[in-house]
Amino acid sequence: MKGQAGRPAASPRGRRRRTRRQIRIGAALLVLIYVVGLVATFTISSESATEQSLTERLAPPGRDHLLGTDQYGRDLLARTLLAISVDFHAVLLAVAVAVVIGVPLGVLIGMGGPWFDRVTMRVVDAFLSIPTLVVVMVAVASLGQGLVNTALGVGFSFSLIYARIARTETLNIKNEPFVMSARQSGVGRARLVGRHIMPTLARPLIVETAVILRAGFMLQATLSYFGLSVQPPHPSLGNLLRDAQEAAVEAPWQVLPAGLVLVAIILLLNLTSDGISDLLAVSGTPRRLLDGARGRLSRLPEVSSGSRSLVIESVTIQVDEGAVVRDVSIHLERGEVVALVGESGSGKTMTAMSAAGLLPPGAEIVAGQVQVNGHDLVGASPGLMRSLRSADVGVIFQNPISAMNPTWRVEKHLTFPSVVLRGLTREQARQRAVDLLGEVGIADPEGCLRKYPHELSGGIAQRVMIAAALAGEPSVIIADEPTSALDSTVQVRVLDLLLGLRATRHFSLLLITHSMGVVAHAADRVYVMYSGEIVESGAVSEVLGHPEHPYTQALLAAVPQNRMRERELKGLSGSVPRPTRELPGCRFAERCPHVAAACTAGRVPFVERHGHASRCLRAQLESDVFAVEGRRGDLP
Amino acid sequence: MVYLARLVIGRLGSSLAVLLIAATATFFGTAFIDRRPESYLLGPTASPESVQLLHEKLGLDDPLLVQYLRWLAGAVQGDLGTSWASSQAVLDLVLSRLPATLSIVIGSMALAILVGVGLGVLAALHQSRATDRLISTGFTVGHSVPEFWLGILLVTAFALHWSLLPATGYVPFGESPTEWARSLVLPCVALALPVAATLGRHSRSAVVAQLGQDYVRWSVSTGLGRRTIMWGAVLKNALTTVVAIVALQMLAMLSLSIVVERVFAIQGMGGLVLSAALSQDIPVLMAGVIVYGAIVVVTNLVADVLQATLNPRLGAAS
Repeated sequence: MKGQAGRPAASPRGRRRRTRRQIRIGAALLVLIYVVGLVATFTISSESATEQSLTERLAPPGRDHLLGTDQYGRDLLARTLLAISVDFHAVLLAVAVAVVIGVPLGVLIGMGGPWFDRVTMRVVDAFLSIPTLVVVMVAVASLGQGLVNTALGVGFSFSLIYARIARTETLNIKNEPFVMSARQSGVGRARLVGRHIMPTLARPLIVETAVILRAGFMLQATLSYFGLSVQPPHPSLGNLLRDAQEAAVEAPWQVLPAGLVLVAIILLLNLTSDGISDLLAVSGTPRRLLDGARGRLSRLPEVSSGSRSLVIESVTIQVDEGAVVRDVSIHLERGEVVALVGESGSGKTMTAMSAAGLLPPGAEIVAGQVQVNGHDLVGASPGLMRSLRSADVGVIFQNPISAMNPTWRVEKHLTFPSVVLRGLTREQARQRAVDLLGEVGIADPEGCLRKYPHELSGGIAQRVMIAAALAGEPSVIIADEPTSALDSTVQVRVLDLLLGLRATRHFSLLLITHSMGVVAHAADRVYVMYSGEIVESGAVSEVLGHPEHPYTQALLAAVPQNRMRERELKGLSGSVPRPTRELPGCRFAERCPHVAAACTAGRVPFVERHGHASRCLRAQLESDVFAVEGRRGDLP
Repeated sequence: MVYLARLVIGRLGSSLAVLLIAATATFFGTAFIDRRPESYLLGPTASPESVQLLHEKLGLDDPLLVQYLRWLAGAVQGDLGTSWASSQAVLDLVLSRLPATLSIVIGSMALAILVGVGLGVLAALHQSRATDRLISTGFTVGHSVPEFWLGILLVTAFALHWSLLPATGYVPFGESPTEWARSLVLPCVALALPVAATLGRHSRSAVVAQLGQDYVRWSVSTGLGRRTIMWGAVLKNALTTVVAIVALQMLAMLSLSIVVERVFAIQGMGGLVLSAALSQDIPVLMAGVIVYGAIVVVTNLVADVLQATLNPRLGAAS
């Protein structure tokens, strides 16, 4: 089961542990079946399984014959047990042949020149588009029948799969820097293959072998069933099934033993190989973004909203590992542009998305309040959330092209929600789409409507997504790094477009960014976030002109114009501590050039003076000094 | 539309190349076997003269390359040669066997798509809930049941025990449409089930993978509801992947169909190839390789066109 089937609450680590156990149990049981088969070959005489006895034809299961006898009077249990190791050996032989032929062939193709590669791969691909069994038939025609011959044929057919993988991996590794440099320093081809290529190949080949083993058992059983592989009267699972089919009218139970053994082997191989590919799969938890879209649209209740369109009050957001947003308060006045600035991992996106009810699966608001136009979002019904999203809150994402549906034309992005949610006719919605595209500065709206996302440039795509966000006439727009994925010349234009629209449409804009340049260009007020906390806030001119928190200072120093100050802040090394980590005091302390003992002693309060607030003991002491003249205290 | 035509024409060339390479490899791969069609055509008591005559007629004494070029010259004109085992025209043999095989394969694939993709999507809709777990377990088990064992079980139960359906044989559509349908039920079920399980697993993953995409988050942010997003956006995107998987499964299904034909004693392409392999009837074997290869190639072509229609970005990339 590819990356699935976990219980909802299972942690990734727990799931990995379960997957490992699945692999171990699967492999152990397979070995057990094989060992039982091996023991059988040494304890049961092959005569007892092949000697015919017409007096004991088709005896039902009983004391003498636990599983009964077949139409030739042979003991079914003995035959089934003896068949197991025969099939195992045939399959192992085939896989061994496949590896021995396929892997060197693939490496050879990969190491050879491009022409050699193209020609040989054409042939390999041609073989791979013929059904395996047909290829094996051709091999049988030229090699003949019997266990070894068919195993060779199966091995040859599987070898092409190995060759394909080995060739791809070889090509990949060949161009890795460390291999290139080894080649340049005169390491011979043979050593290159042995040292670098073979070890890297092992992993994909092991994964594929689990799949091939399964196909091998199926093919081996099939070929014996056809009478091509193990020759009667010797038992194999396929032979047993053919005999059983012949006797099906008189003794239908005979189809069960060999069939169930085969199903067990294949089931165990499936579980093992599924486990292995699960373990190596990159993506862990499946994301369930759709869960946020439950519920029916409902009419919004009348509430008094006051002058603030968005209020986030003392919000703490938790994921499995702990809190990622800690006691954050943000508000937007009507028509205001507010920037939320910080590095990636600071929790700024999480904070903003809480205002649209778009927290990723697993994240949850555990404390505080979120209000949009006076409507409480925490604990609100899914239907209310949907209604708010359709009418009050618009969201603009970082990467416009991937946020668009690849199979929808621009037109559908703009019209579909209007038709479904706002009851417009298609013509009305289309006309509105044309108007909106004009409004976001697209020169040829009609032409643009007909395009698919992949035909748009990043800048145009972001304009389309802005138009889509405007479709519901929202009073709050959340823009998550709306210009970060764009070319720098386009960035300013898109930013200016948003500011212009704000002026005509009077929405408030929450602008999430990591760039102080964007803040300076666009925002009225700014909140600086660090490791899940707000560390400074205030009017842009205040915060940028007189930054109080050392982190804000460091961010400003990173802006090119402020190069001069970089030297002073060289002490800022390391990285943002994960927001989930519990720290006793200031979360910036371990990177702060001015850190003092008091900083890590206890939680640092967020202190506001004249609309400018920060979470830094040093800044607070300094301003106290100005407030109470003459008392300098011991400054950190 | 223009790009679709260009796509088809572009793929057609490489498809024919695949068939030619496979047939050529079959010819030369079996070159070292002893070519003795007289043992089938003339019997053990044939006089050396008649053997000589036969070899001349079939051109077996010519150098291999000449034989190959003669075959190739015939093949481009639609003549696939003469069977060494029955001295019938290979093309006639193929045409007599193909309807049965196509009926089973197309019928089973339709059934597998219906059941597999349907259940896979259903499981994805109920991801990680009881329905999903039940269906996914069913897929794992279904994926592990060998089709011929399932075929034998079905025959034993429905044909031999309850006598509801014919146990073996194939009735051509032209003879009796109802009997044709009845003769197809059990083979199709036996062949469809393992493929349906595989298709279902992959369809489920395809839908789940779509559910994590950015455009889904955007759709949610517009206020659209879960069902609308699922049916209006996600499924169409997932379908692109599903089409690719169906095409891939065709390869597996053709192998399985040979076995199922044998289980149900259906005179199809599978039996033809099998007996050609046993009797070393090279012209028939080559035709078998080409026919099976052609089914795969046509399936891929249809899949490519479907994908390009479903997802214009894929169309533009090719």
